[in-house]
Amino acid sequence: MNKALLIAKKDWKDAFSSKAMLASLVLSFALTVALSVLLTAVLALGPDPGRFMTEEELAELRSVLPEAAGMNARQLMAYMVGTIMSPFLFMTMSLAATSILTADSFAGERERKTIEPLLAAPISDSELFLGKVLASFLPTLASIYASFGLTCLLINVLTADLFGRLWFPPLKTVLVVCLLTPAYAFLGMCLVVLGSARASTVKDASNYAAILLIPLLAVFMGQVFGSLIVRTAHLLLAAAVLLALDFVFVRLARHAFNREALIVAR
Amino acid sequence: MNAIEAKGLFKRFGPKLALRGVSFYVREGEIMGLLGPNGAGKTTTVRILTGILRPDSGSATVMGYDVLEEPLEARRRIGYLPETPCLYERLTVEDNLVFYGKLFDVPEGELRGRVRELLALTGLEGRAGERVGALSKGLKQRVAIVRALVHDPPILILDQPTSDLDPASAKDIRGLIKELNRSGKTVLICTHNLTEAEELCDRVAIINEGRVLAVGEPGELARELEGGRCSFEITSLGPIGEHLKALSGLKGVLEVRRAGEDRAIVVLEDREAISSVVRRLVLRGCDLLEVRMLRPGLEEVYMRLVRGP
Repeated sequence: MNKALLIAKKDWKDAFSSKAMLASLVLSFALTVALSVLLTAVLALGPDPGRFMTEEELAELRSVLPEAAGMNARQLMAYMVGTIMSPFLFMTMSLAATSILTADSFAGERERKTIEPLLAAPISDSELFLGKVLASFLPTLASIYASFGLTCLLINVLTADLFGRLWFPPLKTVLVVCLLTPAYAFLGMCLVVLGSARASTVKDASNYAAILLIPLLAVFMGQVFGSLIVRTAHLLLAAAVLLALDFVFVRLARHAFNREALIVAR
Repeated sequence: MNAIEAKGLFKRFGPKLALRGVSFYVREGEIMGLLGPNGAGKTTTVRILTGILRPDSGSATVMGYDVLEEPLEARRRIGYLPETPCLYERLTVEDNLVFYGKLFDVPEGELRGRVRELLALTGLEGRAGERVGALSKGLKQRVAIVRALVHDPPILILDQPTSDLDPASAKDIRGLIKELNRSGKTVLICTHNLTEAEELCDRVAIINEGRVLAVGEPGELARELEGGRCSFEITSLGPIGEHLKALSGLKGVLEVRRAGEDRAIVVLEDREAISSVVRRLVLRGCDLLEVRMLRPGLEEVYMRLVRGP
């Protein structure tokens, strides 16, 4: 474990000494916070959205968000941003951030030709793999929680008058951001590790998680257009499925992670 | 005990058989050269010894530790310099060295002092805080050598340590290798630079197409190559051509050829035959200036083994 942590620390120092790498991570989450807060602020403090919507349209929105029954148009729209838009941003940005970090840690060592002496050091394959996983995943996890904390603070400050209480985050948002987002990012990381065994460059490897954007977009669009009503039970079930997938894929990734694949040119 | 032993190593990459039964040993305290052209199997062999690759069959030990059965113990005893420096260019010299020192379990209290000491030994004082990416190729190679030494291993495996370096840097690195060997390190060096091998190595193994073709001291290999025969260069004060006819049919003379107006090469069955050659030439009135035995160099041995006679 000590050596895995040593490798992770080295990878963090190496990755974050690149301004481009640091900027991509910080910008991903800064954008998530900024968009979530700005959209909520516009809805809470700007013109009343109820003026642009009919009662039927509002009723339709309330049917997508059953827990928002009784909210006025302004509250309803802010609630929609908080429970649909903001979690979607967290999930996509986390996926992007973890893909970049994982590709840099796994495929990057090969691309920059630094892997050989590391493989000749007295460390087991498992320690090396764990070190790389920690290096890729922990910064994403820390960024998710830190930026979510900041989002909660800012949204509550901006909408305190509108709701008359601290309302953000609702339970569904907590489940999505704190449970599903890390689990989904972890799955993305596993796909990039699997891709790194085949890709020769960081750029190629980081593309392997892009496939995960498709189901994410489908769920988001389904909610926005009212064809999908996501309840707490659905989220718990999705979390269970994702954790199971994480378990399966991390084993596959560990299996694909072998010294020969890392060193032999393809 | 030998420092390194490789027995019957086979390794295949897809359709290509990279190693076809490579066997050799390295004695403790010697500098052994693994010589061969590009693609001969040198790097694959050292990657097996360092535990980076697994052989398809065969075995290898490092200071008695089997590289497959006890890979971590074997790796602890090796300082490895790959063909390229393989340094983290975004990190500083010190960050690179401290990271590897910790990976090799160098005690925290000793590590910084050891790094400073090695930087001084390799002429890198004052460079600890510099980013590796900003260093020249020669300096990067020195940092990579320090990385290989940071855990004070008994064995150094150096894969083409002077390739890509300018002559002055290459000379410095060769000097450093000799110094490290004098301080007790066993060195296995992969190279296709024959001058370097002749200058540095106590013994060499010549490898081509995944097979070891010959192992021994460079001089011993040359003698074996000649199979007891020897060649002499004879120089006279005047033209030598007409005197050479007197040597035909002389016992022990295999071949006579002119190498210039006043010079000839004589190939003999054994070196004792040179006295009768000299006697015959003097009796014929040839004014001899010099008689010199020609010793085939490592280059000739290498070329004949790798390219064929």
